[in-house]
Amino acid sequence: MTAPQLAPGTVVAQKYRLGACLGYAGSSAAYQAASSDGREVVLKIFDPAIRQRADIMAAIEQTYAATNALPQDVAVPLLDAGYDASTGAPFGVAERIPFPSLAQLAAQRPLTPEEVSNVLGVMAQVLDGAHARQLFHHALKPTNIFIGFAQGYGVRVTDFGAGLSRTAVPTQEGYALAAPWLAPEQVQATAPASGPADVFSAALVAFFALTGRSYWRSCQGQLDLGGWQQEVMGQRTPPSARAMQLGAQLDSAFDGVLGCALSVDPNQRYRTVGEFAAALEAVVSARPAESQATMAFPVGALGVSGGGDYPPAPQPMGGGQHQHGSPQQMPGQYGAQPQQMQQQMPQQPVAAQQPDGAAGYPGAGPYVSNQAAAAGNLGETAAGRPIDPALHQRRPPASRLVPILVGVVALLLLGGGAAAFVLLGRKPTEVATNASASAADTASAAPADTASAAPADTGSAAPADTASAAPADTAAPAASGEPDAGPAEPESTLACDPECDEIKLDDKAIELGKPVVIPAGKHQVLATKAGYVTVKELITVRAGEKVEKTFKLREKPAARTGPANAAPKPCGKFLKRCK
Amino acid sequence: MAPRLPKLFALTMLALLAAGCPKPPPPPPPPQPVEAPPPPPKCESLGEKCAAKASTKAKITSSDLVFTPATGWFYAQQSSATISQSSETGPGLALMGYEGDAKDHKKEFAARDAAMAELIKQLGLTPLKRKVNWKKPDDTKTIGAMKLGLWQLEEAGQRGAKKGPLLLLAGPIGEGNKGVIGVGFVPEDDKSQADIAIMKSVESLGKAQ
Repeated sequence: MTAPQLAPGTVVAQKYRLGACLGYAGSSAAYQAASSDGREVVLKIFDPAIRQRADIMAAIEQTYAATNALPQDVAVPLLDAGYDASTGAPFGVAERIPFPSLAQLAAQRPLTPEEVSNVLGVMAQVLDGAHARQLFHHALKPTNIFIGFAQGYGVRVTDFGAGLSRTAVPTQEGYALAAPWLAPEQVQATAPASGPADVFSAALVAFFALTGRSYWRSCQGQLDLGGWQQEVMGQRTPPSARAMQLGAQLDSAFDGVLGCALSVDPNQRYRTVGEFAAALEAVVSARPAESQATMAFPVGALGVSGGGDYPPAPQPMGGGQHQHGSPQQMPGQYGAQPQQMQQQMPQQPVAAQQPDGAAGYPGAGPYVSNQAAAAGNLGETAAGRPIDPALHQRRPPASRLVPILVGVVALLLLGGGAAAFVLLGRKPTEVATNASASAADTASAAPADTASAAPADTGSAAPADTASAAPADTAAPAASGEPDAGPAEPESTLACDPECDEIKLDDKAIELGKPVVIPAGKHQVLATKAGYVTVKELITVRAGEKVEKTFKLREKPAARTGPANAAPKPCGKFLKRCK
Repeated sequence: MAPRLPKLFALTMLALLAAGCPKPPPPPPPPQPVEAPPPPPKCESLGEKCAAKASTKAKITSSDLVFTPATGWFYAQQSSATISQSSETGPGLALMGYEGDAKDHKKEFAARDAAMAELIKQLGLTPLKRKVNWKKPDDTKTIGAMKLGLWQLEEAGQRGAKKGPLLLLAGPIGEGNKGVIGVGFVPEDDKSQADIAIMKSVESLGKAQ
């Protein structure tokens, strides 16, 4: 059995209306979906047979719970889980990521070493944190990593524990998708796969990001499974030499770091992803700055709404069809509708059917539909279209000029706009206040003796230094008690729905239900309640502004209890008897 | 004449004595040839209808292992595999030894695949539609020096018209590259707790004395 293939419009668990199929990996399938409250989500549905596997279901539930305990600004949390009554299939729901995937970015151009180092550094934090909780990703690949360059390298990692369903219900599709990113111990079971397997996959991902190609020769174009199995267990070719074989460029300075992380023996790799990231960063910082990015990612693509400018992701096996076309050509390439893609899927070869593991759950964001829609193109190469090595080399200088020119024009426009804004008489103090939260902090810290005079100072975060010696959250009442204190700072209200157990403002708990004075600037608010997903939000407060904010909390998906329509698990035989 | 008289007298007396004595019993008849008792059944085919007792130790083909089939089940120590079953389309268990390769997973798994296909055939089950993930057992069981892996394939078995789960067991027996492999089947609608009986049979695995 395999995951149910559902038509667009199908309603799962009476609350998720499915859209296009984002990817199909045999044991699971991912769909765009809209929840009954209108939220855009990604729904991953599993093979109903997995439901009979109590051990696998328990492992999946544990993985979901552990994933939700990770920092949610990096690890994509699960919103809901349960069983679909009509198909009997277990499912999980996660938010859609508005960033492009690493696969899509690498299709645009290989990332610079600096970019790769930054991305890896963020990934390392969440992966090492997960490893400390005995949660291993084991499905790291470029389509499971989403990067928002516009958000300061906002990196989101999805699909923790995707290997569980693949292992429980091995299918050709699932194996072919996962293979290019698996560690040797995941293939041969020579050692229990754990953290080092993620280090290995992270190294493969880094090579892919730097070159736009898979490290394995057998994964260029259609996957040669036998060849790949020999390669993954065999002697390693230095990454720079391998890149050259594949028609890409990679500085030989990376050979040591990548070679270590790609060791067959897990004990010879870096112990953590953090160690690997640090080693890579050391190499990057030691290199001359000659290989800086020569082409920026399109401005429109950096934000939430710009992803449409991205080309479809290259194939996981290395992107045999990795063509650097101009952005104007891209829409035509992935103009096929997702529905068409879904109809084509069963007839396509395995490699083309699942371009890059889009079934990979929450990961499949809006960009994935584009990459999935490109399956037709991928199929052509899978059918044996020869790969032109020239296609995989960096862009010629002429084509680099276009984004540079766009960047220059954008800078000029921004500069002109800013100049006009200043000339039209905006108060410089306001500009300064809005520009940076740290500016407000600095201003409040310096004149300790005038803490009660300036509005920005009343909420000083350094109570020990202030003249009143009052804690920050009680500074307002103290100030208001002084008739000469000038205009009092407005009191703000922070609340939760339902009521929180604790609200922290800049890591300092505030008194629930009572007004609080929030100084101007940016502040981090953390609202927590047992059994609910913690809300972490950055709020910006202008001078004299009163903030009234209620944080809407949502319940954590129950580990055992599914939705109301979840049927009780039937007793089995042999190893699955009910006790 | 006179010397002959005593002789005559004596003869006459003897004759008289002989006439008065009962007849001697007839010689005993020669012993009837007794038929040798039939040899115990070898239980090498299911046609012999060998029903297992609690003390039965059935030899596992291609190994020096034995096991106790479920009491009352028919069993056969065939040349290809040892089979025990409650009926032709009901629950059953087939076991055999195989020659694997403890150092080469690929060869080991290939040997298991071949042996399992034979067991499936011997039990009259429909062939499996997917490969078994030998690397990751659902459970393990240690029996003596043997550490066996257990796999359960839901809805994978069909014997006659009955469908049900399959229990696979495999593992080295601690002697070189030799291993033991087994396939158990129970129909989904079985109410006789045959799966428990099969598990007990598996736990009874041991060396032949």
